Amino acid sequence: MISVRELKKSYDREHQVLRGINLEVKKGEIVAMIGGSGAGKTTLLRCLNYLETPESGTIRIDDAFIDAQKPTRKHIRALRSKSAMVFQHFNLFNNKTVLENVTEALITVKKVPKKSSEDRGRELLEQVGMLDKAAVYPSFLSGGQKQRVGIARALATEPEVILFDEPTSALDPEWVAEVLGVMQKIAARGITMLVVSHEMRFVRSLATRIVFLSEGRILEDGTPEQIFRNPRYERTSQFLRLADLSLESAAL
Amino acid sequence: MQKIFDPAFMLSNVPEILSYLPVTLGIAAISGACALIIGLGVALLRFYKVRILSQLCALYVSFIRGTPCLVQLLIAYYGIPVFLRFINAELGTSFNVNGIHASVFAIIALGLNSGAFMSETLRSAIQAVDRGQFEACYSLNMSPWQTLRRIVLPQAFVTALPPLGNSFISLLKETSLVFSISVVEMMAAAKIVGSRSFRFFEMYIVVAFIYWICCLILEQIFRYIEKRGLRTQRRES
Repeated sequence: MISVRELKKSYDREHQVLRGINLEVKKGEIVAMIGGSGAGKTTLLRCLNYLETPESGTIRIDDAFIDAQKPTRKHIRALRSKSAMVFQHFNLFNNKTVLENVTEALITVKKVPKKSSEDRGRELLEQVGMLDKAAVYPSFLSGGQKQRVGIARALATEPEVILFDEPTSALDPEWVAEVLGVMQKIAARGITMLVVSHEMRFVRSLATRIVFLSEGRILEDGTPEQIFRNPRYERTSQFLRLADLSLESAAL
Repeated sequence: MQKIFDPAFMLSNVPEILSYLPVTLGIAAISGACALIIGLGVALLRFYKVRILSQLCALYVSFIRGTPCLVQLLIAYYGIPVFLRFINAELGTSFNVNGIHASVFAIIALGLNSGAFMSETLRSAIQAVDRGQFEACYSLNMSPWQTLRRIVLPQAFVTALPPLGNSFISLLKETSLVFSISVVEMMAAAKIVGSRSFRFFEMYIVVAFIYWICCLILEQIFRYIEKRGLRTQRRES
């Protein structure tokens, strides 16, 4: 359903972030993208949403297709309509209530009537356990609550794929579990998810597939079983050792 | 013997001065509305770094900031008719140059003046809106215009309110300069009444108080709007 080919991106001439990414994702897969900092995970994710403009390569999500060398506004819009983003720092609309955050895109982009948008919004807030805060403004919420609203907002437009950009890394440890719980619920419904995460609890328990990036390339790609048991590269096992360490310290 | 200070005379002329208050407020309100529109337009052109136009806007802001308001008023008063006559001669149009009321020049000059200052306020306020707010909009496929109108500008306006309030207060006070291009408003009335009796000082005291009260009211209005705007934010304790 998602098909990325030869995707390249650099911020300046020296620093190439993505050096030709090829990635195929099937419907319903839950892909965890891991790798050291600067490996290009977040950039790759943001390119799928065109928040970052790649230089070359192609991206296909469902029937939306874009060639990075000749992107048109129409193609960008089509591509964006297939995905939704959950941000590390939530990026909830500060001037909108929790409910309005969820209904905003329905009303402005999908042109759904206000009444049915709100019904849908309430339904989604119920699912993430935030219905009682519907009328509250984001600045009154905890980090975990904000991210649950962020997930509800991403679900609202019924995208083909939800892109999670380190959804738990800006959270205090006490809030991580509630967000992971919500993600687990969505995963169980068969929605395709691409997740950049350092949260090994998530990677191990939820992901159906792990993609390990290093220096702008996909180094390993396989089931968690494969990657954790016998990684092909030394670099991967090195990274996993470090990540496992952080898992242990989180468990303590 | 003539009194040194004549409170009775002062009070008796308050109604006459006050009768020109609507002129002052009218000029301030209309040029204020123009200024807000100009300011927003300029701020957006400069925020998005629109080629050529944003440089022209920077030049405009620099000129307004670097010249006295009084000079700008006089340039508008003498310059716009010259310009229109030139247009008439060149293009064969027939604008009635002499038929334009002086207050129109006053509104143009004050609007352009205040607009330049407001544009700087609004530009910095838009820049202060978190980049993530834009990204969230784009990721949800909202158009740049929807992003501005529904998410970015409402937040920017809250940030901009206190300095915008200052701009409006300055503007209200700067209307006192427009007598220099023969618009009779409150300050002009004070001078006229003063010259009738040579009691200028009393009349200036009267206008000073009227301006002060108007500014106090304006301040309260802005305080109220700001409080409403801040209801979305948790108060830092």
